[in-house]
Amino acid sequence: MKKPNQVGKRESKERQQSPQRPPKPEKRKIPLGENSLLRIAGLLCGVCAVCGLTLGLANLLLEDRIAENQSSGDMGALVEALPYGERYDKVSYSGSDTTVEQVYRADGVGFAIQVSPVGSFSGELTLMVGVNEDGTVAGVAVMASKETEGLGDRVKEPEFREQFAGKAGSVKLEADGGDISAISGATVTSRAVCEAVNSALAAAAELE
Amino acid sequence: MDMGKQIKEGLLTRNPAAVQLLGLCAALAVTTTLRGGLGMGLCALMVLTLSNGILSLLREYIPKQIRLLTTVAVVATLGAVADLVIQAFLPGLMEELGLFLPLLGVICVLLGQGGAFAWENSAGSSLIEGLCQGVGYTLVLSLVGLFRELLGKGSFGSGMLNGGRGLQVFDPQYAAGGMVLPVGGFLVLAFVIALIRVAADRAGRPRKRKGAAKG
Repeated sequence: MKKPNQVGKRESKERQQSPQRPPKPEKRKIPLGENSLLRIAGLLCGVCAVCGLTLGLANLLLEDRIAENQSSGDMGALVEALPYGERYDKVSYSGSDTTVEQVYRADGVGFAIQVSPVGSFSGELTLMVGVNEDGTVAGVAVMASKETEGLGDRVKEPEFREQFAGKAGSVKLEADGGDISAISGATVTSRAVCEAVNSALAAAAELE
Repeated sequence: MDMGKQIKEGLLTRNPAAVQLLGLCAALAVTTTLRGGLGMGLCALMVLTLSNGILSLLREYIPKQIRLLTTVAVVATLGAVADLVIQAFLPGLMEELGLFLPLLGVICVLLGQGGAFAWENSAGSSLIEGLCQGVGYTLVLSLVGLFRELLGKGSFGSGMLNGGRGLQVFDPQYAAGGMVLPVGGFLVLAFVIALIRVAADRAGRPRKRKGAAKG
């Protein structure tokens, strides 16, 4: 084992002062017994292995259920946005609107379009907009939102979302010249919802 | 194992959130509703109790050098398992807790003071300690959640009672909306801490008086 120079110098001083130095303690060697590095490392590996296995097991047992919850969350939004649909089949969207994440078609009823508008306050707002066969809005459901609680998050309220029912073409806030009444104090989020609805209406028109 | 004493300590005199001031980040973040506070508190209670028990059982086998590492590994694993369980069985709560659900492990390492109690005490004592501290933490979180929801939205028990809508105690347009924002969180938390400390002082006082009378 290498020792830094200073210690060596100190040792030589000590030698001058006390000629008899105690023998080096045995710990300096690397034994394989109690409290050895190997044992400690081994125990730690063991603990981590058990932890890893536990996590793996938990994941294995629960992942199906979690996936189910995910998809039934989608199902809830689909039914809320576009009621009366028997089946909601995913269809591919080849338009240019990047905010459109997924399009579903319910035969005879219309389209349900999952949109994440750019103009949301937090950057994470996902809506499901139902569009009837005749191009009018069937309903708007909020799938995910990180908007401010008590303000932007209030777009979830039925009173706000009901305004969009039956609208066609494009929607705008009253402040922008349209007829959608925004949530007070949450203009940005309200405008983002309008943006999403417009995206959905445009996408549905393209797909007709 | 003086259960009564440990309960009182967990709830009042050594309340992890109000007296020891641990785990306050979650206490501010998830308590916009009673359900969030109660849910997070109960999750922390379970993880804390279990992890205390497990670490305590390991005390004879794990040398001092790796105790902290073991604490982190065990508590983090339990926190992650709890996260998966909530995702699987209570997705509504998962939505409510948001990104603080994955932080359960971290919170419980803090609440358990890095396993300080568990490594030195028997499994039974450790389980009870975890339980009592968890109950105290849940108390604080629930109180904060209750008041923030009541004052900030005028509702009680949204997400839990009345099929999810909760009881609307008064019209939300008269509510102090700021209560559900961070500023309200700080204010309500401060009051709840003060409240619990007053109760803790009162709980501690009668003993002193008896001692003085005898002495």
